[in-house]
Amino acid sequence: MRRLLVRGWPSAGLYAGPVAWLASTQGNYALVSWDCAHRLPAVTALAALLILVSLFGGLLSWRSYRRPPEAATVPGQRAGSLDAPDGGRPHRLVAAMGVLLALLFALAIMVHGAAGLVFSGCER
Amino acid sequence: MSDAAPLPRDLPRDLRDTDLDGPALSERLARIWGTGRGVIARLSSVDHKVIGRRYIATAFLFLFLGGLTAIVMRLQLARPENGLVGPDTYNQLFTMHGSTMMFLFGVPIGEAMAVYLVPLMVGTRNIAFPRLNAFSYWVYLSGGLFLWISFLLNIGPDVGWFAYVPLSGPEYSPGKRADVWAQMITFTELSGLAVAVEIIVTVLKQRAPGMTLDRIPLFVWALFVNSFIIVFALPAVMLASTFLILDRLIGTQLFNPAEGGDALLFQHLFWFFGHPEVYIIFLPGTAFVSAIIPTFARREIFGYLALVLSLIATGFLSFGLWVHHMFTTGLPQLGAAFFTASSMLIAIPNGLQIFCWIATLWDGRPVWRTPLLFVCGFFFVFVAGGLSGIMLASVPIDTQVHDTYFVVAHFHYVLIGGNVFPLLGAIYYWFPKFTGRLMSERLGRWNFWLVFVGFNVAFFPMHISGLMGMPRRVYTYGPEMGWGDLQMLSTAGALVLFSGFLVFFWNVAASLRRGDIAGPNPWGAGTLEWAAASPPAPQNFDRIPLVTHREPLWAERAGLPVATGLSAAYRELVVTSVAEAEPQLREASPEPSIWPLVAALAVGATFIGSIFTPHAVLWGLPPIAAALTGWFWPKGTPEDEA
Repeated sequence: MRRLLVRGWPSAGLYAGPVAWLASTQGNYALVSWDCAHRLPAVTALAALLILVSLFGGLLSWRSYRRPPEAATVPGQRAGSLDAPDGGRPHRLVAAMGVLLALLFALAIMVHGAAGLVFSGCER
Repeated sequence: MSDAAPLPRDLPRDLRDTDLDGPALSERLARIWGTGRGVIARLSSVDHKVIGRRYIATAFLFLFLGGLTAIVMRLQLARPENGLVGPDTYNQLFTMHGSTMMFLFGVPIGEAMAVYLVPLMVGTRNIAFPRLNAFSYWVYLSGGLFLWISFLLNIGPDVGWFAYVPLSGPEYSPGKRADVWAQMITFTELSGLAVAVEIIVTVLKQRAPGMTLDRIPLFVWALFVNSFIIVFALPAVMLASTFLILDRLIGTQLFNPAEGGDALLFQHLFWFFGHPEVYIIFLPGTAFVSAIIPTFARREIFGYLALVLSLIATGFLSFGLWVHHMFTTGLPQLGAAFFTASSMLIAIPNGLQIFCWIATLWDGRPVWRTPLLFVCGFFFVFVAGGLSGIMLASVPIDTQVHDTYFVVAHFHYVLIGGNVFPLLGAIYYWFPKFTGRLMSERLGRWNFWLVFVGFNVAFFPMHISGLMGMPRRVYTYGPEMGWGDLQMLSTAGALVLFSGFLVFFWNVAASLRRGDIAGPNPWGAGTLEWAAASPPAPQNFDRIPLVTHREPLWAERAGLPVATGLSAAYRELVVTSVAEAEPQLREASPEPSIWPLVAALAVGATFIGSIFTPHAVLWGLPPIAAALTGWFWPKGTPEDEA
């Protein structure tokens, strides 16, 4: 685990963000009637947990993105802007997408959770 | 041959592309990869360009037919209490219009362009699973003909393009009309899934050496993400339509609440497909825009990472919006709020794309040719549709305007703006590649302005008609409603829009015969398809390009480096790794075969028979099994030995 945290995992945010958001969409949709019946903010609690999942994926992608280029996995890989049109740094591109997608989906889950602070689940 | 990178040579020594050069190599490869003469040979073709051309032509035929239904509807609604068509015909017309545009044009046209262009853009010689590709086209054609022949026989579906139960169920829709709709879905979705799988595998495993993930053209990224959306979305609607047929044909009660079924289940299944469908139609539009803008702005795209990110984010988020189509079904407000949130958040990646495209134009030196005009039309129309979409994501507004002409206006702005405008630009852009000739620029400008003005005159007033309370799918209305003037204006706009399409078809027909000769790269574009001849040779490239840049033709102006070592004796292509596109192995590619057509006919007969009797499934199995056996039977070709 420690090694994973140090080295990172380029595509982690790419998986964790969308999966957490899908779980939030489906799980929280199913929890609405439970929220109403028990008067407990389960939707908000689940959303908070899934935000952490998404951000953890983003963190692993970030660790990978920040690794020095000489330690990278692809021979010939160079440092520099990802927008440079010569490309050739596919794992760095994936890591950057992982970070940004994790942040976007954390935002989406946060908005789901915020709805749980406004509604009790009983309103029709 | 400069900078040639030899490929692995693990097969027995035979004639390779290193043994020949120039015209001798071109002619030999063209003979190996070409489609023969004669009817059987043409029906057996597995060349992605031949099948792509057929797909594109067929999809445009259905666009034209769908447009004709729209014109008849607009003429009927031009004035109050008009008697041009009766309610029964009108019900069939709007169902045929929606079904044709969504299932026979909207989804297939993006895949059609992908079938033709993706293999060229990634620098390979054919699409993955080329026989499946041929099969998918024949299934698509069969489904389209089935729907339209049914309509001509007065058994066309009349339950709307989403065919809600209980209206489409056995109790309220006796006869075969709803069955025709349901089985047409099965045809077209089967075809769509097949193409999606082909595109995914082509992009992941057949990219030219050196085309790392961050050198993939944005066109290819968009259609790659689109294919994943198709793979996950289309099974939901196939399930819905199959359940509907089961309810109608063998008496299951899946959607009948009185017997423990659930009518809302149909809506959930349908819209779990139906909302991603909007993005299945839109993402190819983004693909066209991302290809056209750098060429005519004369600079590399601004924000490559942001654009790829937007595509992937849109792909995922498109699956979390479907319930906003069901806001008036009595959902708890908390549940609806999740879908409002995602519906509004999807504006972030889509807005990001628009800004990146504008920034590219801003920093470039734009050349205002017809393809770029259509892209600018896309900006205006699609953004307007997106703004009304944000309004509809709000439950209170959606509740007020649900099922009114406001919604009709919104989704036409999104779908025509997001797909048809970029598509017309794309046809002008790639017509030289498809045919070797340029389209007329003068007619192109007439085409653009007629379509742009006609579209806005037709559809903008519908926002107001909807806010005035005019419901969709009414075949007429009374003069006291006060909708007459706006409806007349919409009809006038629709006629102008239609005339714009007539100019387009005229331009295509005239340019095919008399257009200026294009040459391989008439626009000075940077992606690989422009390295091939116009129209491309059957083998696409004599030697597989070696990619060092996102715009290889701009980076390697002296001539593309190539990879060598592929067979010049049989069909062979190179398989590369997913991330780095390093050559891994040589793979034989299937030869032409008539069996995909035979299999499609057997499948089609079974599908059609099964709406009359469940026993057709049993009768249909032996012919399908025989066709598939013939398809896969070893024939002693290199394909079997590789």
